Amino acid sequence: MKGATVEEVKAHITGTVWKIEKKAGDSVSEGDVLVILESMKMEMPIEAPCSGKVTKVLVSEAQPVNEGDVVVVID
Amino acid sequence: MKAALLQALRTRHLGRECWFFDTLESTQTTAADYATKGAAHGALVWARVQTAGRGRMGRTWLSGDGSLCASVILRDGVDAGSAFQWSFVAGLALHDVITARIGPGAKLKWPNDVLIVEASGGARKVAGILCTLELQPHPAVIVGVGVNLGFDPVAHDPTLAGRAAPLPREDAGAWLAELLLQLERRADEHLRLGALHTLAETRARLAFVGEIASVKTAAGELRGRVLGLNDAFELRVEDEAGRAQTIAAADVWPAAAP
Repeated sequence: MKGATVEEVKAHITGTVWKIEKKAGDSVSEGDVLVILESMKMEMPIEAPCSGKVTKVLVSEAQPVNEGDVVVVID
Repeated sequence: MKAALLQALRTRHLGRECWFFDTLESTQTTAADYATKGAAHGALVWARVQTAGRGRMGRTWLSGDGSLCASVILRDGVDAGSAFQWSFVAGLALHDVITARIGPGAKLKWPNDVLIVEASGGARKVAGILCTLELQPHPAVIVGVGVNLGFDPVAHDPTLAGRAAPLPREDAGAWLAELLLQLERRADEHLRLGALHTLAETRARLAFVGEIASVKTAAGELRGRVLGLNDAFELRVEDEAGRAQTIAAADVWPAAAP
């Protein structure tokens, strides 16, 4: 696994998970929408900060999240 | 209808580029798609009829004959970190237009729905907003607005009785022109005077302050006294044990009598 990096993608706001766009095992490119959060009647996407494969989705739809919570892991 | 809008339009940017549809699933979905393809600041998507109007968290926004359904793309001054503040800017603009028409009975239901508060203490929603942030290719906030102009949602969904109401029917194009003007003015103020100005203006129009409310979050229902907004625009509620709680996402209504 030399050279592999694990990226923990965090919620940038406190809100509710509205929609999960990627699942574990999906390949993603930088900028792809992983999860859409809703807070204060604003839908806000969380984008992949890098290309790779989604290894974990740590939230479910309608779940409340706090700013800084890890929502997705990309390997 | 589009001609009526263009004739009444007094904005610099908002609505100057306009796509009008007789029937559309959702102006918000279409405008978000146009935003990702690079549509300019102020571009407007407007439909006479929506067949799949969207509310928050995937809910349906009911509309029908007379409803105003439109979404406008804002780019100037938008960044991802403070994007949620535009949700309040839009609420203020909507409140401005409704207050100019019906007088002082309109209030903002946090974060940005507009209610008519009745003398009995009841409150019924007459207009709502849903915002969407798009980050690609450049940040944009899409402000989607639904206004019950002569349309009574209760006639289509009796479960909304006591919670929703129509506004007087009038020309949707002229109404939309006024809304775009007030939104442009509120957006200018927000950028010139800052978020604390928008916060103060919202606090001055907030519904249910000091009242016992039912606050429904993804984690459950909280019953308590509405204290107001903190400096992050979050709702502060004192629960029944006297503890102040901070709420970032919820649906707030007057609590039913115990």
